[in-house]
This record gives sequence, structure tokens and C-alpha cells, in this order.
Amino acid sequence: MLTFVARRLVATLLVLLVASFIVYVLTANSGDPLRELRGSRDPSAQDQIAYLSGLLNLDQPPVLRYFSWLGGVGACFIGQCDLGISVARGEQPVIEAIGGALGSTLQLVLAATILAIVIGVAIGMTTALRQYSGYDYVVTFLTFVFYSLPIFWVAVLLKEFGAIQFNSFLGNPVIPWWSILVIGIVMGFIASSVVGGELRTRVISFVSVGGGVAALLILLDVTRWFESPSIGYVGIALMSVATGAVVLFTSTGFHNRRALLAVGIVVVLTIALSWPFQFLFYYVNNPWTVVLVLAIMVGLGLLVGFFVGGDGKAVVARTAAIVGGLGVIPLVLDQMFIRWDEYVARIPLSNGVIATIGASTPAIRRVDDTWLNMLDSLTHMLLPTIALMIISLAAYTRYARASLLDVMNQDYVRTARAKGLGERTVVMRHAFRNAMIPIATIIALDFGAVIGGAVITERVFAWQAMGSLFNEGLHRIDVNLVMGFFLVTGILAVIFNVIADLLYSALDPRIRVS
Amino acid sequence: MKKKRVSAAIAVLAAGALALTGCTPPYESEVIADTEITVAWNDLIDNFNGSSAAGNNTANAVVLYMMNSSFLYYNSEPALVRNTDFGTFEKTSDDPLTVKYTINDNVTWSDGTPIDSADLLLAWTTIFAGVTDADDAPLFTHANPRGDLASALPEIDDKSITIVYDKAYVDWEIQFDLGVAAHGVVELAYPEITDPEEAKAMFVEAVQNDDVDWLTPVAKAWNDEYQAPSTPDSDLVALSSGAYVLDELVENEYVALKANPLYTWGPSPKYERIIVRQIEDSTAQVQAIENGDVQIAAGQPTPDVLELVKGLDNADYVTADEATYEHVDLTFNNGGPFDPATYGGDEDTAKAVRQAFLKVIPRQEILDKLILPLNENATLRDSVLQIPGAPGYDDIASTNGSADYAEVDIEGAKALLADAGVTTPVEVKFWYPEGNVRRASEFEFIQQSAALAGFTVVDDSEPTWAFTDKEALPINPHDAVIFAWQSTSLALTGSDQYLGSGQPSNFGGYSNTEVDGLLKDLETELDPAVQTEIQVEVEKLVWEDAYGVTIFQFPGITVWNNSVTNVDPSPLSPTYFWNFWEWAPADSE
Repeated sequence: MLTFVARRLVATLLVLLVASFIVYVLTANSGDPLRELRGSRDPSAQDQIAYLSGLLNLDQPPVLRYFSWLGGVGACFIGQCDLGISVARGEQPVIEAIGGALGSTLQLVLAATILAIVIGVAIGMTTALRQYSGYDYVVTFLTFVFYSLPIFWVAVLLKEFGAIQFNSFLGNPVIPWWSILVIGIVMGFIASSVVGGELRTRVISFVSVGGGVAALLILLDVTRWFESPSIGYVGIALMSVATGAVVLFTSTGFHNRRALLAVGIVVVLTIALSWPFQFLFYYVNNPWTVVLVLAIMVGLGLLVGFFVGGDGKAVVARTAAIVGGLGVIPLVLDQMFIRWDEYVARIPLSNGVIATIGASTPAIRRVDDTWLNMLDSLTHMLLPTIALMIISLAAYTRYARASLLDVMNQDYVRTARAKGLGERTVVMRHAFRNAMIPIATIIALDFGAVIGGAVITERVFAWQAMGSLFNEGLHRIDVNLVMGFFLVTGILAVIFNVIADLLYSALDPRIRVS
Repeated sequence: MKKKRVSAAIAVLAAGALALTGCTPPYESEVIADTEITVAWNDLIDNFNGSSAAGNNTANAVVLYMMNSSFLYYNSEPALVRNTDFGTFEKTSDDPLTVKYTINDNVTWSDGTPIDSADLLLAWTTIFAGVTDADDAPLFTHANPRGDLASALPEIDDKSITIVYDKAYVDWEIQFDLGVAAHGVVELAYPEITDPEEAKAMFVEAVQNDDVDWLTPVAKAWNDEYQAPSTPDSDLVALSSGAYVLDELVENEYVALKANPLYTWGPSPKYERIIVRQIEDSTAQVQAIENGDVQIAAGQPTPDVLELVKGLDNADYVTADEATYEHVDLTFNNGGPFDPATYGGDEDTAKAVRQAFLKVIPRQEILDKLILPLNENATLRDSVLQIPGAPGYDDIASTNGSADYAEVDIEGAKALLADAGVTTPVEVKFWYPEGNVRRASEFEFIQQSAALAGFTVVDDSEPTWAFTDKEALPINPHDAVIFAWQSTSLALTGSDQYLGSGQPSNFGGYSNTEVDGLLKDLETELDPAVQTEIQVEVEKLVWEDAYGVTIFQFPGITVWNNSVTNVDPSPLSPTYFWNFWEWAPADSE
């Protein structure tokens, strides 16, 4: 396997070398980095032109400059990287510029990618299982709509409705009766379609879910919850019960009494521990607390599963651990929402909380409070994450649907059904894993591409990350900056290609890398 | 009437009492606790030395403007205002030109060190290339070092410096101002020196003895150490001499400034904190104003952005001129229709063709159709040298002969061509930057109008501005070009860069020895009245020679949320920041 990896790396290194040469020469020839200065009649412009020409060796042809740049990159192998300086960024070394930008990109892209994968695969799989149902058609229609939407348009609309309008709603939170009706009907429709079955089951799921959602909205409206949203014990209880139910439904099913018991115990523990954890969160005001609590909850889940699990210890322990781990989310959210009023008082917005630009509020960053800063990140990341997610979500949905449909027609699925396994076991154990093989490849490639692909989203939301770096480099004909961007995305693409190959062999035992 | 007299008497008495006791009225800070304003700018500060070659750009300038005091600033007219609360300066002699700068007593850097003559000496060293290396290159890489202006070591005493110019210099007023702190740069270069007074003394001694070896690390620190894309490690980098000090700088996101507790000179700001956020996209800026993320934003409007701004119900806006202006220049030396060589060296024929062509450029139509929709107050720019509203502009514009080109004159152009005996159609290769929509429209207007008088205007556009690189293309291949010059100050020097024979920004080969001589005279003229006279003379010659026409100032827009008051945009850098101390929360009044 090592030889395989080495061979792949050498081959891609050559590709990178050739590609970098082409990109360098193309960028260098795309214009004059001193154009702005030439258009200035400031007496200092001539001095500046001479200064920058000397700094960037502009008297040499681009081909020669490429090799001196390559020399600097080559020095990375002996630990003395020199990617040149960025003139567009006030002579900042390119390495520093990339270091800063890569952090923000990962922050932005990671959440969007993970959410897109989870939600996209879930929607795709449910549509595959309910093929040719109304739900399937609606989702197919919507995915094609989203797939073809230009992201700058989605982003601007998201800001208008997700931020400006939503914020003014938060300023005076009254939910009109018709929106309660519409939301209830839509949620009921989704639930009845996913659950499927006979007409009676469909009606029951429609009425219970749709009615439940509508009732919840009415309750929130009447209690003026949106004026100062909080989660509290009731919220924690509702959310942990819901996650427990979903995890149980997808892993073992409710008929497994031991798993049901274990999950029940973990949910009760989560609710009970939420009180002591509040002290922990308050006194150890540090992001690592989340990791600590996560470890505790997962550990408790494993322990409960181990003692309650009986014969199916491993499965039950795993299910309980997942429920325990997910139970941290409402606990952390609760901490963040406790600070809602303080947050609203500190931020510059006159109404609401959703920001349209940047990654954080300066007034909040000054406050040394992890949970307040988390809430701030949440309000800033919400819209760009949705914008990025909504586009790739469509793609994942389609891939997951096609892939699962393909697998469901395989012989081994028929065999599994024939030997009397339940539908859940067939889908989750036998079909799901195999359906993930092509998706794993797409995920690996997609992640590499999305690092550099958020150019427009970053610009619209004033996020300063890799995309804006590239944009700036191109606009100011700052070759070093563009090449820095190219190196990072190029190397990431290479790495993820290799990872995809390895993942492929891990998921599918028939494939050997050699 | 009586009451008035009594109060006047009291005022006189009070003033007299104050004068007798020798104290100035106590400074009262008007900073309102816990107030904060966020403003948008398209780029962020990354260098705290705005004078160095690396740090000399607008994004640095606007933030440093709020962090520094200076002897002078531009207001929104635009006109120069002297900041006498900080320090004073006066011309003590015309020959040789001598200027004495004095810093007021109570003025300090934000670390408490008094601002004194050592800091002014550092400014002299950098601005006038006071210290040079073995190759005679300035040790300090100032953005525009003027080794030719005031090379004599100035005399200093505790708070003042006396600069003696080598020659009379018209822009002496704006040539010199305070830069970074002397003790700061010395301590950055020599970390073992920790006493500010000692650092300053050593610096002054080194400069006075021309100790290049000791000054080399100092110059290196001055050139490089102020580069800081995020909050600098050393407080010395971001020392403030003004109303605000640096609170936090987050790379490419925002810079937060907070009121300087030591600041007692100059007008008091109202906001405790000012935050400048980096937002490049203009639609994003407008949406951020609507949402309340930022309170002030500015930029160059497109019709779409203007429409969006007009739709805001929680914001005000002003459209106004920016300092950049559009102009058409003709080429005199490329063998084209405007070159005398084409007519066997007949200057008059070439001039007639030039005048005819300029007469058919539809300046008013371009203004009406492209600029007025974006800035309803826009007017034609009728002067090559001065921006509308600047001192002397009206005198220049009314007498320089630009009136001949105010309206399209097809018949006049035809007559000129006929009298000169030129056979039509005359082909004019016209350059504009390819891809620029506004200029493509301007080209079309010009093409259509010129066709009526017998000019065939050929699209000679390309995107790379190749003709501006005089080393590659010593002679401009295009017969006419349209682009913009940017004014960054009201300096009177600098126009020789594009009007003077053979100068680096003179792309059209324009050469008039009389203009050259006048511009040279202007550079050493100290009497404002004569300065205007010379400018009028220059302009008369330039317009008479049909050098080109100026068309309009670029439209700018400034938008602000209703929660802030007293926003007043200005065309010159630092644009809307110029009166930051007057910004106030709307609910505080």
C-alpha cells in the first residue's frame, strides 16, 4: 500500500508542477500589477512603481520569475518556506496570509460540508426508499431548483429574508396564523411521506406531526418565546427524547427492549445532569468543557449499554453512546441561549441577532465568555453555512438516492430479505454501507473543491478566507498570492484524492490498493 | 442691549482672569460611555506607518487618521484646516523658505511619552531623506522621499523644529507632518533601550552626527516593523497621538479603536469605540446598513446599488463627487491625426484637428446620461489642475478657455477641419479599458457625435493599459485615450508629471516649453495669488493647445444608518472619516 501511495504522490507532484507553471505564467501575463499606480498622479507614484518593480523583479520575464518562486517553494522541504510577499496585502508574506485564511475557510466550510452530507444523505435515502411517492417528486423538483440556483443570488436573498426580515420579526415576534397553517401542513406532509404505509398510517402521521408542529408554534407565539428564546429543562428534555427516538429508530428499532431501556436511561441522565453541568459550564468557561462533557456523556452511554445490553452489548452500547453524545447539543445550546438578553444588548443590531457580514462581533469578542462567543459565531455562521449547504445538499441528495436505489436492487439485498431480516436491518446494515462507497469518493473530492470554491459566498458575507484571497490576488494581479492559493488547493486536492482511494478500499473489501 | 454688554464684560473679565492665571480652560471629554459605531471600508489597515513605501495606502490612512494628530487636515469643502490644538507652524522666512513647527505642551503619545522635537526630527529624516546610505539612497524608505527639498539638518529645541528649505516650494504647507514615534522606532530597533527619553536623545544625537551605522537598524525597524495584519505584539507599533488608540485588529475582519484616555488636544470624539469592518462588496455594505451590522458605508455607486440605497427606510445617503476625474487625452507624437508630423510638421493644422475633435466630444451628454443618475449634484469638470470646490477652481474654470468645449459644436468642428484643409473622414484610434462598461458607453457617445463632423472613431480598446508602461511603449499607439486621474491632495505640484515634456505620466507626448516653464515657476511660488495666476496661465495654454478635455468627477455615495448623526462625506482622503469626532449617536441628543 505504501508503494501505491508513493506512486500516486509522485505522479500528482508532477501534475502540480506543470499546473503551477501554467497558472503562474497565465496570472503574470493577465495584467499589470502596477496599473493602479500608473493611473495615479501622486508624485510618489513613480517611486512606488520603482520600489515594487524591484521588489517583484518585474524586469524579468514571468518564466524566470516562476523559477525563482519555485526555488522558494522548494525550500519548504528544508523547512524554510518562502512563497514570496503579497503586494495586494501590504507586503505580507504569503504564508501568513494563507495561514489566516485557511482557518476561516475551514470554519466556514467544515460545518456546511458535514451538514450537507448528513442532511443530503438522509433526504436522498428516504426518497430512494419512497421512490415515486409525492415526497420523492417534490424533493426531486426542489433539488433541481437548488442545484441550478446561482449562489450569489441565494446568498443575497438569504440575507434579505434570513437576516433583515427575520430580525425585524424578532423585534416584534408575532407569528401570523397563515404561516402556522402552512408550516404545519408542510411538516405533516413530509412526515406522512417519509413514514409511508397505508392511508390510515399516513393520516395519523400527517395529523400528529403537522398538528404537533402547529401547536408548538402557537405555544411559542402565545408565550412570546421569540422575545427571549431559551431552552431550559423542557427544551433539553424534548430535544433529548427526540434525538433518542431518531437514533433508536435508525439503529435497532423500538422492538429491541434492551436498547430502548438503555436509551431511556441515557435520556433521563442527560436531563438530570443538565443541572449540575450548568455549574460546570459556568465556572469552567472554556471550549474544552464541551469536550469534557462529551466524553462524560459518551462514557455514560457506553457504561449503560454495557450493563443493560445483555447479549447485544456492542450494539446497545453504541446506540446509547451516540444518544449520550448528541445529548450534549441541547446542553450547550441551553448555555448559549441563557445569555440571549445580554447578547442582544451588546450587539450593534437594532433588531434581532442574525448578522449579514463577517465572522464575529467585535463587542462580543472582547467579552471573555465562551458561550456568548459561541452564540455570536452561530448568528454569524448561520446564513453563509446555509448558503453553502443548500447548493451541495442538492447534489448529495441526488447521489445518495441513485446510489441506494442501485444497491437495493442487488442480489445480496434480496438474499438478506429472503433470510427473513427486517427491513430496517436490510437497509441500515446491508444496503447503507454499500451505498456509501460512491458517496465517499464524492465527499473526498467535494471537500477539496469546496475549500477554494466559496469565493462568492465569502464575498457576499464579507468573510475573509481562501476565496477572497484568490479574488484579491487575481484583481490586483498579485501572482504570489494567487500561487499561494493554488498551492494550498492543489495540495488539498491531491491529498483528498489519495484519501478517496484509500477510503474506497476500506469500504469495499473487493478493492485492493496496490 | 444692556444685558449683552454686561455679559460681554463678564466674558472679557473671565478671559482676562484665565490669561492672568496662565491656564487654558480644562479639556472636557465628550466621550459617551459604552457607545460604539461600526463603519465599513473595503480594505483594512495592515501597516501602522502610513508614511513608508509599504504602508502608504488609503486603508491605512483612514485608520491612522483617527489614531494620530496632525498639524493639518482636509475638511469636506475640501480645504486645509490647521489643527492648532495639537501644534502650530509658521513660515518665518521666504528666502530661504523657513518653516517652524511647534508641538503644544500637553500633547503626548498614548504611552504617556511627550511628543516633542525628536519625533519631528524623525519625520524630517524620513520625509526629506535626511540620512542616506553609501549609495546615496535614503535609509528610510519613505513613500516619496524628497532629498532635493530640505537637506540641511534642521534646528530643534524642546518642542519645535525649524526646517530650512533649499529652495522655495509651493506645497510646503502639506509637505511636512508628524509621523511615527521616535522613541517607539528606536526601542523596536534596540529592545535593550527602554527609557523613552534616552531613546529619543540617542536618536537625535545619531541624526545630528549622521551616525549611519547606528541608524541603519532604526531605519529597518521604521521600514518593516510596522507591518501588522493583526494586533501587533509590541505596543510600540501602534502608538497613538490622536483621539483613538488601537484596541484590537483582526486580520481582514475589523479593527477596533477605543477612545484615548490621555487625549486632551483637539475636538473630543463622542463614541467610545469605532470599529472599521472590511466589506468589499457594495451590495453587502448596503444590506449590512439595513440590518444594522454597520452604521456608515461609502463607495462608488452603480445604478443597482443606488436603487437599493433609495429603498432603505432606516438610512440616509449623499451622492457627491469623488477626487477621481475622467478625461480624454490626445496623442501628439504617434503619427496619428493629432500629430503635426502627419501634416508635414504643420502645427496649426494638427491643432485645428485636435480642437475639432474635442469640440465634438459630448461632455454634457456623457454627464447627463451616465453620471447624473448616480450623483444628481454632478457638474462638468472644467479644469485640468483643480477639483471643483477647491480654492481657485472657479477662477481657473471661468477663464481657461474650457467654455469653448462646453457644448458639442458639429458645425464649428466641420469649419475647423475645412479651414485646415484636412480631408475627411479623419480616422481616430480611440482607447478605453476593455471590459469597463461605463467607458464603453462613453466611447459610443463620442463615436456617434464625432461621426457627424467627419471623424471615424475606431475602437482601439484593450484591457491591460499597455500604453501606460513607457518602457515597453515609449510612444502611445492610440490617438486618443479616456481614463481617470486620482487626486489625493490639493497639492499644486505634481501636474508636471502628466503635462511636462517627457514626464513619466505624460502618455500623449504633449510638449509646450511655456507650460514646462510655468509649472517650474509654480513649484517655487509662495504667493497664493500668483499661484492662481500661474495656474490660469497654464490652463489657458493647455486648453488652447487642445491637449484634451476633462469630463466629470467620479460619483461617490456615502450611506449611513439613522442611528448616527453628523456624517459629512469629503472627496479627499480620508473621505467620510474626516470629521469622525463629530459623529454622535442619534439618541444622545
